[in-house]
Formats: sequence, C-alpha cells, structure tokens
Amino acid sequence: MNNLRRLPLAAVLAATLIFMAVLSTLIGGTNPSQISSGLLVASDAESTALYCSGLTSSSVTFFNTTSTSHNVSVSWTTDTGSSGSSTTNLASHDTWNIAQFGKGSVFAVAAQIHGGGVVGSVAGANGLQGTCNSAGVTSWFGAGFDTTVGSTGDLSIYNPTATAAVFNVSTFTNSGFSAPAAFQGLSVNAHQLVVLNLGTQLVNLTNIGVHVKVLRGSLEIVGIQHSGNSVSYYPGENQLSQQNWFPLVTTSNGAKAQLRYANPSSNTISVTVNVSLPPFSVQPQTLTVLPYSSGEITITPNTAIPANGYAFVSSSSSAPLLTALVLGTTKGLNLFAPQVPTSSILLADFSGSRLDTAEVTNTSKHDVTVNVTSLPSSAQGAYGSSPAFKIHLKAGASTKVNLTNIASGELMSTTKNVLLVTVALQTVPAGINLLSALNAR
Amino acid sequence: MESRAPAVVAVVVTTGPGPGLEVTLASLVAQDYEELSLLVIANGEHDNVSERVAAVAPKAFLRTLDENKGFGAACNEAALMVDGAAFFLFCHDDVRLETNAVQMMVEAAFRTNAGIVTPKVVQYEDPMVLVHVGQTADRFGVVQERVDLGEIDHGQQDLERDVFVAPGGVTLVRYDLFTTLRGFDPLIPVLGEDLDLCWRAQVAGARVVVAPSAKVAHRQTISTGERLISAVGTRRRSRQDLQRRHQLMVVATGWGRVSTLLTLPLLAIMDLFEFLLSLISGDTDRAGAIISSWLWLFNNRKRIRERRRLRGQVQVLSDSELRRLQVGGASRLKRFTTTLLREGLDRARGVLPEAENLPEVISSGETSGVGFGAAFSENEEFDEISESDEISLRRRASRVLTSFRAQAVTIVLVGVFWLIATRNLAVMPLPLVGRLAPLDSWWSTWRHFFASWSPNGVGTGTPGMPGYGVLGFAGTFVFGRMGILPRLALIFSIPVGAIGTARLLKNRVSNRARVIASIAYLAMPLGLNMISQGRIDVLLFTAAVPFIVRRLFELLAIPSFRDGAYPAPVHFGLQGWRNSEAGQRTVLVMIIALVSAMIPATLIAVLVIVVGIAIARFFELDENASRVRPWRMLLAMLGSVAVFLLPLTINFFFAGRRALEIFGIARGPWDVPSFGALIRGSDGNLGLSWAAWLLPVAALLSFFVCRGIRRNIASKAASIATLSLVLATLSLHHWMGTFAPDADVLIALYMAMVALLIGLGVSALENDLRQAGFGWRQIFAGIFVSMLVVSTAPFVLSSSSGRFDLPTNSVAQSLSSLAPSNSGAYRVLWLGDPTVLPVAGWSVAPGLAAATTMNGLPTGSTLFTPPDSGTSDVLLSDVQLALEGRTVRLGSLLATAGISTIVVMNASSPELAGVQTVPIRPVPNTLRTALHMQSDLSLELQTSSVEVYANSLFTGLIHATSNGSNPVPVVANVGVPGHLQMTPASNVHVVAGLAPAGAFALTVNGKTVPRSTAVGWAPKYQVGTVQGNEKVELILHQFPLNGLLALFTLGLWAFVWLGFGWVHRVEWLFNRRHRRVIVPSSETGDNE
Repeated sequence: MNNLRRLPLAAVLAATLIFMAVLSTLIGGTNPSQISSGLLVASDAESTALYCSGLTSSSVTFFNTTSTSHNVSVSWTTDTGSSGSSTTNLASHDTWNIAQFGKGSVFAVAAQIHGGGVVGSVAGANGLQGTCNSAGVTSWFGAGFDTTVGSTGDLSIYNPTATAAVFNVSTFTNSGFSAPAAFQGLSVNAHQLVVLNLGTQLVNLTNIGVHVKVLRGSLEIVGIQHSGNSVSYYPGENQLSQQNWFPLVTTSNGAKAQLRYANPSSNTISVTVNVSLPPFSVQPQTLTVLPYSSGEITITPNTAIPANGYAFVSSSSSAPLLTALVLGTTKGLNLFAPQVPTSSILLADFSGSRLDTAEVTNTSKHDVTVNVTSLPSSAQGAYGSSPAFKIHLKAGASTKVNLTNIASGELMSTTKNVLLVTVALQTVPAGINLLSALNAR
Repeated sequence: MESRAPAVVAVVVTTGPGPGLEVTLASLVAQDYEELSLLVIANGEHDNVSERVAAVAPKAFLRTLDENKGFGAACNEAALMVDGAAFFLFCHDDVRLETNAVQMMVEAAFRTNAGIVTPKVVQYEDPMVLVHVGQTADRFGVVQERVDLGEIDHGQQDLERDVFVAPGGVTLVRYDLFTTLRGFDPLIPVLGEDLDLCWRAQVAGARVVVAPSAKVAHRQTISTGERLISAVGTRRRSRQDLQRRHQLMVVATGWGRVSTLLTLPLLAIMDLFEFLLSLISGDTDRAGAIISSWLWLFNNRKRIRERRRLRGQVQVLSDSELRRLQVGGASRLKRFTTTLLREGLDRARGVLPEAENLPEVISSGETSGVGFGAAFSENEEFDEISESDEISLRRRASRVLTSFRAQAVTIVLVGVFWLIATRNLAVMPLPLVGRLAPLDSWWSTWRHFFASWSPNGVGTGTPGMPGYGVLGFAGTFVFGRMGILPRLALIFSIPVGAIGTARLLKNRVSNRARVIASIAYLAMPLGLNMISQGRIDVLLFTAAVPFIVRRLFELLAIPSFRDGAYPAPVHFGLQGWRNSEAGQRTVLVMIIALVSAMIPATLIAVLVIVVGIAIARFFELDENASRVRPWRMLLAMLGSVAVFLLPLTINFFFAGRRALEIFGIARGPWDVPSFGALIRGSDGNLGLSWAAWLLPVAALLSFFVCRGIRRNIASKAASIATLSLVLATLSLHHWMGTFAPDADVLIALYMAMVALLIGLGVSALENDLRQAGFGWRQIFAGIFVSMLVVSTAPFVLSSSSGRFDLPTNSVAQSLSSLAPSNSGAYRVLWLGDPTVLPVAGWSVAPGLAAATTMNGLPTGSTLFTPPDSGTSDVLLSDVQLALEGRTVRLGSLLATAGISTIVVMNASSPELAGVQTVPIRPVPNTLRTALHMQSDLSLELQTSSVEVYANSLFTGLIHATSNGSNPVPVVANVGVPGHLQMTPASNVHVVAGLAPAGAFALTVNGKTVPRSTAVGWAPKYQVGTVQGNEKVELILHQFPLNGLLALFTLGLWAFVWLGFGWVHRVEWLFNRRHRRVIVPSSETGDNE
C-alpha cells in the first residue's frame, strides 16, 4: 500500500480537530447568571414575589400589568415588629393599594403573587417614590449618603427568605475606608426588617459610599436618605460599573446636581464626565477618586456649565466604581441611582405627580427600535386597545417622548439591553426629582 | 568355551500390531553380547506375532498373554518364566538398539554397581537428536528431562552418571533387584511404571545410572499417538489422567510417614490451584484428571498400605538421602509459572495449539507470544526484521527492553509501583464521591434488580436496572462482601485495561511494544482522574475498552486482526461454537452488555469505533472490507445488547425525551475541560501539565511513521480517536441538545486509541524506521523514546498520595445533620453537576442534575437511575421553575414529595489547601440566585463546595392533615408500621410523597382506606375520623412484573452462557467422553 494514501485521511482528521479546537475556544460556555425577574417573568409563572420598603407614611401600590388576574398575598412588618397580612385577587391592569402598616417608621412588604407581571411601587408625599424588587441581593452598593446635620442616611434591610441572614457593612468616605464594628456580623431573622442608621457610626459626613456584603442568605435593601425637607428611596446598585448615563440632569438656576462616586477598590480611579448641553460645548469634567474613598463632581451649579435646562451627562471611569446622582436644592437633596440599560421598562406614576419631560436613550452602538405601549387601566377593557407607537433611535442617540398614559402605565421595550428611559417630574426648580421605573430587579 | 559374561534376558513386550517389532527383534538379534536370550511377550492381541517373531528371531522365546494388562504386568509375567539370569533387559517393541548397546549397559552396570541402567535414547528417525539421557524427578513425582527438546547429540551428555528415572523403552534391571522389588506394580500398567520402579529401587539402595555409550532409538508410538493405550482398565482414561494418578500413587507411597505428611498436602494444594485454574480456563479434562487422580488414590487405599509395607521391608535410603537424588522445588509449578510468564495463560494450561499453528504475525521477525506474559521472551528475534545486508551491517537493533529478563523486571516493577501507588485505596474508608456510594448487601442488591418499586425521584415502578444484576453477580465472587467491589474496581480497572491493551496488540507488534503501550495506558491521566473522582463506572469501561476494541476489530476484519474467514459454523451449545462467528459476536455482545449495564455510554463508544473504522476505510479500503457489513453487524449487535439488557431497554423506550440521557447527562459548558485538556486526556486535576501532551504527541508521530499493516491499523485508531474527541467536545459544550454522551467514556476510548498508536509507533521504530535511510525518522526515534519516558513523570508524581488524590472525605459525608427535626421518613434533593453528585440523577439543565435519596445519604438503592423519570418529573419541573425565576416557593412545591433538604454541590469534596484538591464544577449561577429568591428555603450551610437549604415547609414524606390544619408527620415508611399521632379529628387524610400512587395502599388499624390523588400524583388516603395514635402502615401492592422480567433476563444470560460449550461440558461430566487436549510433551515425560 502506498503511504501517500494516508494523507487524505490525515488531512481530514487534522482539519476536523483544528475546526473543533477553534470552535470550542471561540464559543466557550458561560455560566448563566441572568435569571428572569420583574417584568421579564411570564404571567403564567407559578409564583413571583415583590419586596418593598419605605417610610410608613408612604403607601404601596401593586399593579397587574397582565391580562389575567392574579392572587396576591401580602405580609408586612415594621422596624418595631408590627406586622400584618392581606390577600386579594388582582384583576387585569388593576391596582391594589396598601397604606396602613401599623406602628413604626419604616415598613417592609413581601408580596407573593400566583403568576407574574405584577409590579409594585412605594409612593409618598412630594413625589417620593420607589420600586418594589422581586428578589433579594447578596451584595449591595450605595453611594452619596449624607449624615451631616439635617440629614439622615438609613438602610432598610429586609430578609425575604426563610434563612436568617448575616451581613457586613463597610463604608467609603472622603476620609477613607471604614468597617465599623457595630456594622459587622449583623443578622436579620427570616422575614424580618432591620433599619441601619449610618449616622450612628459615620457622624457628620457627606458622600458616604456603602457596601453591604451578605454572608448568608439574601436581603432586600433600600437606602432612605433624609436631606433637609427631602426624602428619597435609593435602590442602590448590585454591581459596580464603569459607564453610566444620566439623560436628564438639571442645570436650572437654584438647583443642585452632583455626581457622587465611591471607590471600593485599592486602586485610584480616574473619572471623566461628559456633559452634553446643546448648543453649548462643555469641557469634560474629571475627577480622581482615591482608593477606598469618595468624591464628587458638581454639575449644577458649575461655572463651566451654563444653566440651560436638562443636560445629558455620561460618566466613564478607569475602573468600576459606585456612582450616584444627587439632585435638589439648598433645602434638600434627592439621591438617585444610575439606571442600568435594559430591554423593557415600565413607567407608571401612582404618586399623582405631573411629568415634565421624558427622554429615551439608546446606549448601544447600533440603531434600535423602541416599541411604546400604553397599558390600559382596568376600566378600559382589553389589553392592547391603547395606541402603540415606535421610536427609531440611532446608535448612542436619545430623544424626548411624549408619554400620554403614564398614570396607567407606559411600557417601552426593545430587543436588547440598551434602553434607558428617564422621566423628570414637574418640580421647582425643574428637574430635581425623577420617576423610578417599576421593573427594578 | 564357557562364557564368563552374565546372562541377560531381553524381554520384549509387544502389543497390538507392534509396527516396530521386527526392527526391535532384529537389533537384539544383532547384539554382540553373547549371553543374551530373547523372550517376547505378546501382550493381549497377538495376531501373527509368532510368525513375525520367527521370521526375524527364530531362537526367541514367545509367550502370549490373553489380555493386555500393561507393560509392567507383562514384564512381571516374563520374570516368572526366567531363572538364573543376571539381568533383565525390558524393551518396548518400538526401539532399535545399536549392536553394542547391551554390552555397554552391562559393563556400565558392573562398573558403577548400578541396579538399573538406562541407555542414551535418540529419535527413531534422526539419531542425532537426543530424546532421553535419563530423567530426574522432584519430590512430587513430576518427571523432568535432562535434555532440551530437539537437542542435538554432540556427545555433550556422554558421561555415565546417576539419574533418578530410567525412562521406558530399554531398561537393564538387575535380576535380584527386580525380584526384591517384586517387579513392576501391576496397578501401574503404563505411564509411570518406570518412575515407580526406579523410585522403589533407589529406596532399596540401588543406583540408577545412564550409560550414554549405549545408544537406543525409540519410536515412541504411544506419545506420538501412533498407537493408542490399550491396557485393561486404561482404555477410557486420558494420558493425563493415568499419568497423574500414577504419580500420585508413587508419591503417596514413596516417602516415609513424616515426608508424606508434608508432601501430600503440598501436592494437594498445588493440585487445587491447578484445578481452579483449569476451571477458570475451561480445561475440564485437566480438572477432571486432577479430581479423578485423588479419587483413584482414595479408592486404592488398601494398595497404598500394602506398598508402604513393602517399602518398609526394602528401605535402605532415608527420605533425606532420597531427596538429595531428586531436583529441588516443584517442577510442574516452576514450569507453569515460567510458561505463564513467557507464553501466557493459554499456553501454560496446555490447551493451545502449537506455535506453528498460531496466526501469522505481521512481521516475520516478531514473536507469536500468547498472552500478556508472552512479553517475557528471551528470543530477541522479533527485533530482527528482514533487511538488506548493507543496512544490517550498518545498524544494530536496540536491545533495550528486548530480553525476557528486562521485560519481566519492567512489568514486575510497574506492578509493584502500581500497588504502592494505590496502597491506600485498599484500606482507606472510601469517600462518598462519584459512584462510591456504599453498596447494599449482596441480597439487597439482587432485590433491587428484581424490585417492583425503587425510590429514585419520588419513586418509580420501572424495571430494575441491570447494573444491580451485574453487581449482584460480581458480589457472588467476593462471597457477598460487597464493599470489596469498589476497591477492586479502583485498584485493578486500569491494570486490567493495560493488559487488554497488550492483548489488543498481541501478534501485531513486538512484546516490547506491547509492554510500552501497556505502561502508557497505565499512565494516561483520564484513568487516574477517574480514580480521584470515584467514577468507578468509567473505570470499568476503561478496563473493558481495549477488549471491546480488539473483538470489534476482529469482527470487522481489520487486517492482521482477522485476515480469513471464521471456522465452520458449529451448532449452538457445542464446543467450538464460541470460536465460530456467531460465538465471537455473542462474546462481544455479552461484554458490551455487561459494561453497558454499568455505564450505558459504552454503546456510544461502540458506535464511534464502527463509524471511525468506516471513515478510515472510506479513505483506505481494506482488502477484506467487502466481507463484512459493518452497519448490519452494528445494528444486530445493538439489538442483541438491547435484548440482554431488556429491563434497561424497556426503560429506554418509555423514557420519552429523557431517553438519550441514559448515555450521559449534559455538563455545564462553563467548567468543562478545554480542547487542549481533552487531547491530553485530562478531565480533572491530574494531567494538566505540559508533560501530559507527550503521549498524544507520541501517538500522532506514530500515525505518521507506521507503514504497511501497522499504518492500516493506525489509520483506524486515529480515526476513532478523532471521532471520540469531536463527540466529546460536542457533548461537553452541549451542542447536541439532550444527547450528551458521557465525555469521560469517549475520552477513555480516545486514550485507548492513543495507547494503541503508541504500541504501533514502537513497532514502527523496530521495523519501519530501520528499513529507511538515515534522516528525520531516526531523529524521530530519539524524540519518540524521550517523550515516552518523560510522559510517565506526572503519573509517578501523582502516586505519592497512595490513592491518586481520591479525597479522604466528601462533602456528602460532612452533611451529618440532614435529618429534619421532626421524625419520620424524608427525602434529600441533590442538585449539582452530574459528575459531582454522589448519586445518579436526571438532567434539569446543562450542568445541573437532580437526584433524591431517602432518609439521608446515598445508598446502594440509588446507584442507578432509570432514564424514565416518570412522576419524578414533578420534582425536576419544580427545580426548572425556580431556575427560570418562575417560582419563589420551591419549598412548598417540594414539600409534597417529602423533600426536607436541598443540597447544592459545586464539588464532590471540600477543598483543603495543601491536603486535597478537587475539581470545582459550579452549578448554574442562576440556581444560586433562584434558591436565594425562595421565600420558604432556609440556607443552613454555605461553603465553596456545597450549599444546604432546609425546606421550612417540610411536613414529612407521609403526613396527615385535617380540615386545613397543619400537617402532622406520620412516623412510617414503606412497609414499616407507624402511628398516627394527632389530636382527635375528623376528615383526616394522609398524603404520601410516593409514586406511583396506585402502587401503595394504606391500612389504618389493619383496614385498608380509600385512596385518591393529591397534586396530581401523590396518593391521598381518606382516613376519616381518628382518635389519635392509630396504627398505620403503607404497603406496596404491585404485581411482580419487574421480577419476572429480571428472571427472564437472567435466564437469557444463563442460556447463552451454556451455549459456550457448557452443554457439551455438562454432557461430558455424565458420560465421561474424552476430549483431546494437547499437552506439552515434556509434561507427559514420554514414560510409556
């Protein structure tokens, strides 16, 4: 037999092996980490949960976004141990409001829904609003808390599981890292609420960054920042990021706008903030955040940035860090977390505030089409009867939209996680309060 | 003139036709010894004897005996007729004496004062070839030649000396000695009478001397089969049978009391060993001869006493003096061991055809050894290939590892090293990792095979898995000590695979190449990793795969594996059927079925082998390829395996979409070995160093340097190896959907092919490279050898722990408090990568399998999981719901099934820095997130290896409720009575988390209560009003269909097993018919 007859077989085998090697290298498997939550859970799910926290002066509103009714079982507890429960069948596109939580200043609500597609909102006076989340977290970051005179920074920590949770809290301030002994090894019993006052350990400090590391179990955490006469519910972040977008940052006279950063790493991080304020051209603002420290860039008032309505602000950094947007006046500040680009956003206002403007942003480098659907109220009949329209957005572009039916719900969706929708409420001065989307984690 | 020479009477005993009688008589007549008388004894059949004798030796006396009582009896008869002679010369009728033979023997007798003199015996046809120059014997009566087979007579043996045995043919015996000894023992008519006479003569103080100056040619008509043994009482006996019983008689009566007490038990032990070996190897003739010899001895106990009394009367030499005349040790044992080592078991047990009948080897220079031990050949000719004189003058073959001694030492060293490397596996407590769950008792294991219900998942009534049957069968051989089985698998699977590799290469490469390939197989990382992960299922495949490959190659007529047609068909059940094509196919089917029962992915490996061969043949068509139809054969084989594993087959066809999971469960693509690791054959922590590249690279080089038939085989091996790698990659990355055959099985097949290629590569070095001119090939040789040497380094280093890094403890065993606080039965749900879980389960998602155990840790009852998940789908879909974020009350959903605890495993053992390292195979991150989201699960334990959740809504596997009140656990289990301890209530119902619902009945105070179903699958019993503390019992009511199916399967196995000649053998046991077995001639001693 001729030895050359081996070559075709050798070539085929070699080609096959090389092909498989390349393929398996290029298409490496990744461990899935995204689990459906919030609005992404189908309405026919076996059960979903919502966890909300806020001041007992607020109320919780559950909104069934689906076309089928769902049983909702709610139990609540307060920081003084008061508790209660209630059950209802929530009709399609109907809402259910709970306002009485018993004794205490902070409440936590756990709602178990037989099905999916129900969202919840915490709303209070003066446009105070927050969002209910569908799952606890094992790591939580916050930035921008103040404990100065007249300010109180609290963490409302609720354990939604049957596991007694244990967690540590560490902080980053202008003076560096701190892990107060009183904040270490804290525990929360199953389905119980703990309120942590940052001011007890971090006295008279501004721009405090917080990291809550859950050692066991998972927790639902909401920051409650009292600042002068303003109160804000701060949802925090699950992970650090290098790039953030703030489409509606006010530059109005009398307003204050700050980007607050906290660096939880051991490296110095450089931050660059680009401000888009047509027709003006604004030089990028830069900041260096030292390790385990915090810092801020003031957008308003800033002599380099003219007062001209809403600016589009994007922030990028040399390494992941914590970012928070602070809006307000000299009388008080509201704390907002940066929005995370997503594919579907539900907006609804149960606080009765009026909208000033809304901006839709495409954070990707590709053009996208955004479908906008107005959810009907329960009185309007079948789902889908309300008009829908589409918005075409070029790569990195943003546009202002007119939201007609925000009271009963506006749903915006696209195919990829690239969408930001920011809504400013009508305030004086303009733009010092933003509406929270209802589909938080 | 009066002669002064002593009188000699030549006694010629002739039997039957006596083809050499005339020549014998003529040579006696022609003797130059004057005082020689000739007496012919016609022993039994004596047609025309007188005429024949008269024609050649008219002066000879003739005595005819009515019946043939044997040579010894005839000689005794002759002795009675003679008076006044000095010597007897006992002659067979097939000898030819030289003219001075009698003279020389008589002179030697006087010169040495010998009682018995034997001549130098040469071949009848070729007097230059020596046959006997006297013989020796050991204390067990085993006769040994003093010359080699075919030894040429150069005068090297021409020295008068004492010997222990004067072999029959021509023997000079002093008259008075013969009389004193009372002649030959008539109980020993043939085969052994010479040994007996000489033994007794020496006990009596007579010398036995060989006189080489006397030369006799012996035709050996009995040992060559020219003439049958026809003495009375011997016609139905085999030569072996006669020889053994006579030796036994000699030994039993040849020693004093003390020596007999020592010698006979030793002989009994050796015979027992030989008997067992004969049984194992199917040599029933030998086994029968051994048993028969001892029975015969027992039956002749009177004769023993008589012989011992006579011995006492004539004894002169003590036992110690007698022993000094013999050779030391046990000749038969020595010969067996040497033959075993040199030529393998088949040759050692003496039933194989002679070497010249063995299949032709690839190269004329290669040995035709048999068995793994045949590597120990001192013959170095296999290194010598036919080559031109010019080349042979220029080069000399490597002598490394070519000698028998070198190969034997290497194998012994490797064996010792392996035992040292696995020393702790024999004694350490086995951790609960991989498939090392403690086996149930032998009886319970069989019960699992026959069981109508098994506790997998939420319970299933599917047929018992055949793996239990295999385990039960294997447990029989360890006398029910089931704990030994996993240790045996851990320690010996890979060495058995290495032996299989040597068998795979048998007759195809040199013994040196076989040894090297076997060592390479031992050093493969996959096997070591499987030990460290406790994957005894894969280890079993590792042991079997070389044997499967060899038989498939034979069936598919791969050149040099099978070049011709099979023997003519033999009817099923008759001996020889096994060697027919149908028999060979059945052997392969049974091997595949046995291994598939333990690890069904074996079937995929078989498919890969056949497809790989087909691909290789597509490019290079074999000459014999047209004779086989691989696809038809494959289908037939798979069909046959399906029949042999009928319970599994039924499970497979009822499993629906999960059917393919029988071959393996998808692993998480995020933690699978890289393609580089796959090529190195590593799926674990061992074999990730650069040195592990050397074996596959050596195999690759082998592929390119092989020539001729070696290249043909290498092409097949390369094709199969590539296909294995491709399929393993596709499986690991979950690119074939639910079809995810066990990648470790495929890697094991790949490793077997690498070992095969290495063996072929070494052979190519010995043959192909030496035929080529100097160039890159010679450089390759150096590189190749260096790589093989260095590649064993990781193997050596990994042996330091004495357990190949098998953990000393496990995650599962550390979960000591799995039991819930409330009493009663409960289940544990195990979630994790399928290779990490200590129990077999079903797939939930890639990288996530789920399994349940009853009342704590895995046991032998959940070793195998049927592919048909059946009702257990409720559990899997609940976990799937959680994984998709579609439920937050998983505990509530699982509570009905009695799940008290969820164990999420990322590793099979805890990682202990500096002590033990284990592969971390994390579950999908979404599972962790999902479990954290659950409102009714309580995290009890969280480490990097494991997370344990307690179900806060667990209410017992069997619980009772009343009108919506909180459930109360019922302290009962299936078949175990309990009490309903609850406050008096009405409308009470009991729910059991056991499926199928129809299989169970509940009795309350001995009365069966009506049943319905809860949550669609769980049996719910309407108890009604209770007063508290009612006696309840849950009883399994199931028609034993599974048992009948298992019985049928066992019967099928037994029936086919009988087909391997056992019908014939059983028949032989009853009618005592003989089979002809070729026995090495040296063993028989040619004593006729």
